[in-house]
Amino acid sequence: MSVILTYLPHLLQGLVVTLQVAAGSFVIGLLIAVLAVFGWNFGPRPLRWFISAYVTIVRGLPELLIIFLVFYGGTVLLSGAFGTYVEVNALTAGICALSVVSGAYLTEILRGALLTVPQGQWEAATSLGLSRMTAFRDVVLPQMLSYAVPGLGNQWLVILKESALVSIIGLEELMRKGVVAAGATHSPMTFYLTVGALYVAITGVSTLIIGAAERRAARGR
Amino acid sequence: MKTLALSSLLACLLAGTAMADNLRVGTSADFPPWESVNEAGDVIGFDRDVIDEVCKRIEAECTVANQAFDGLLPALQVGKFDMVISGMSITEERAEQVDFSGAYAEPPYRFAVAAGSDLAKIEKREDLEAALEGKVIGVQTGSTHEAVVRANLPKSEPRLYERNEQIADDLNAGRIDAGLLEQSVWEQLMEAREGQLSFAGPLLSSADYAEFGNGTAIAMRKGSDELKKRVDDAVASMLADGRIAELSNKWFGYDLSYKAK
Amino acid sequence: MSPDIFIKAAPVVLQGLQLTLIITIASFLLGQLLALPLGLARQASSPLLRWPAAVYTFLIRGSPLLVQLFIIYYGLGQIPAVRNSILWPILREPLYCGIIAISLNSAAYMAEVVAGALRRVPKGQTEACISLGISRRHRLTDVLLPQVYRELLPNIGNEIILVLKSSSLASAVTIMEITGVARAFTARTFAPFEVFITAGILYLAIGFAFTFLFRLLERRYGITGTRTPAPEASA
Repeated sequence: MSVILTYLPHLLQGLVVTLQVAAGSFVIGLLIAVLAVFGWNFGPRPLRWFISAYVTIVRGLPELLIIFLVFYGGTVLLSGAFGTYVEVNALTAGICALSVVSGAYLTEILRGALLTVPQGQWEAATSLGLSRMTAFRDVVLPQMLSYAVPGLGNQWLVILKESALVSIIGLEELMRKGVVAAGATHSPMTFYLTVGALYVAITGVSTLIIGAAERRAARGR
Repeated sequence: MKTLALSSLLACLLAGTAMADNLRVGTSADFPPWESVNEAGDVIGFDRDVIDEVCKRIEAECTVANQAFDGLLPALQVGKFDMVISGMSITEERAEQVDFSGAYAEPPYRFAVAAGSDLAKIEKREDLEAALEGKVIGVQTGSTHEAVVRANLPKSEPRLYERNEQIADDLNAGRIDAGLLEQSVWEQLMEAREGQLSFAGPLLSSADYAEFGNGTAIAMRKGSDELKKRVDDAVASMLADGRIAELSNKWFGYDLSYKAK
Repeated sequence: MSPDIFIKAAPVVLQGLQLTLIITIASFLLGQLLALPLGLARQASSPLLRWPAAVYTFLIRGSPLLVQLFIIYYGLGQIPAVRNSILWPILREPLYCGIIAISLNSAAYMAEVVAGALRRVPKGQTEACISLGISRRHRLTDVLLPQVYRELLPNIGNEIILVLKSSSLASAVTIMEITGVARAFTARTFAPFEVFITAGILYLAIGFAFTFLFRLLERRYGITGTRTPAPEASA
């Protein structure tokens, strides 16, 4: 078991990268989702159709395939679009891919949460003279976010586990560190179990934090 | 006087920066002793030393970055790297997409099997080919070895792995009957796994199977004529003055520098 | 992007179709089969049943499928005791390892859903069964499970899509299903877009087919008011 201790610093470095990828993807995915919900509510019909297509397609494809598409194909697309080379390292590629994936699921979560906000809130806001935009931003959106907390929390857990897939394109996160260590010491069982335990630890801790957040969000309801 | 001094200083600085370009080099450091990552996280290995020397000879500042092998050439094409050095063989397919320098090395390849397998006793290539019919051979995804198996051993089943250690592990587990990799890579794997693996058949080269490619070279974007000329000259001089042979002996214990046919 | 690579990619990608379908259907069925006893155990009155089931679902749902797959394929493969056991003919084959890993994973998530549904069945039904003298076994097979499974039909329809997506991970252990074949082809042609888009279209088509099938099942057997939701993420 001392072999685990030797490689533990490497594994923990990988854990940090895992958290970076997951956090980055979650934040950007959330941004995409907020924009998408905005666009869905206020945008023209073609935009709604586009957002719908994005969500349906992304949710119907294996995450690994999307990661490959974004990683192997994305740099080509970006460079073509910008005319000049756009620098993308493995971390950025991983975050891009996972943001695309999580954006789709988060859009659905936020849309569902939006529908949960009672219609009365909209009516009250507009009858008080607030514009639709202000009503959305200051009255409905905060409530929507509080309803969304359980869904958002679940999506965080999903992203944490999904980040392991980015190891396949070579990002030095936790899973990849484990694979390399297993290869170097040829004790795959030891390291994959250790890596598994580390994932269980961070999802466990996350679950506790999410539970607290859910309770807080449900205050006053 | 001051203006003269200042402007000549400026001219020298400009000349200096004009001379030294910054080149980004890509490699896949999971292939010791060609390239691997040490505990400090630096890329080390035969290819590292070769590219450092090449860059010295073409008077360029090079930074080496590590990433997955099958993303290297696409990354080169979009401009993420200026050069790729990763034990990569010259093949027709690759040469359509990128430009290669002159070859600097030609590593021998070999089949390996689990120790104690009947295949280990076979010595001649033709006998081995016959014995491998209907068997499963492990190779790395996207490698020339995969192409060799598909083209020359159509009755065998190739199985694709991400990492060469996984090939060794599955050989040991009995999931595959043989594996095909560079001799040098097998030596590393066998050293770590005492007694588990044995070689089968003779050393192989592109003379046996053309799909192995025509030597190992540095890849550059199509149309990098100026860079290619400088790199070709550097490689040729390194072959001529024995520097490649020296590095090869350091990392492999034998000389696999490219010998023109 | 050239159209002729799309044309070349299509037959290649279709080569992976058979394995993808085998993995998906086998893992789905096995997972559903395992989910039932597991879900019942999660809800059991005896802690001897509840605790191991809870630990199992906690560990499986808390770690990535990829790790579980590698543990089963590479981890077990390196243990001499396993290689000499009667399980080896199964564990030796990457295909079976893939199916086992995905089913065990799917079962853990499904078990929680089943347990949740069992919890929601009104207590009154259990009491009514007892007062009518219906045996425990029949209470389960004739009263509880029919309700639970009809209510869960949308979730089960969702689950098969998730299993379809999980099947792509099998490519990480040498299985040449759609994603594996696509990746190998990309490495040879340097045309990632065309190849992966073709593969993506194939996955979407299979997904739509499964969803359509389940919508039909729901129409016949489902409890009105529930509908197959679009797929949720699970890894």
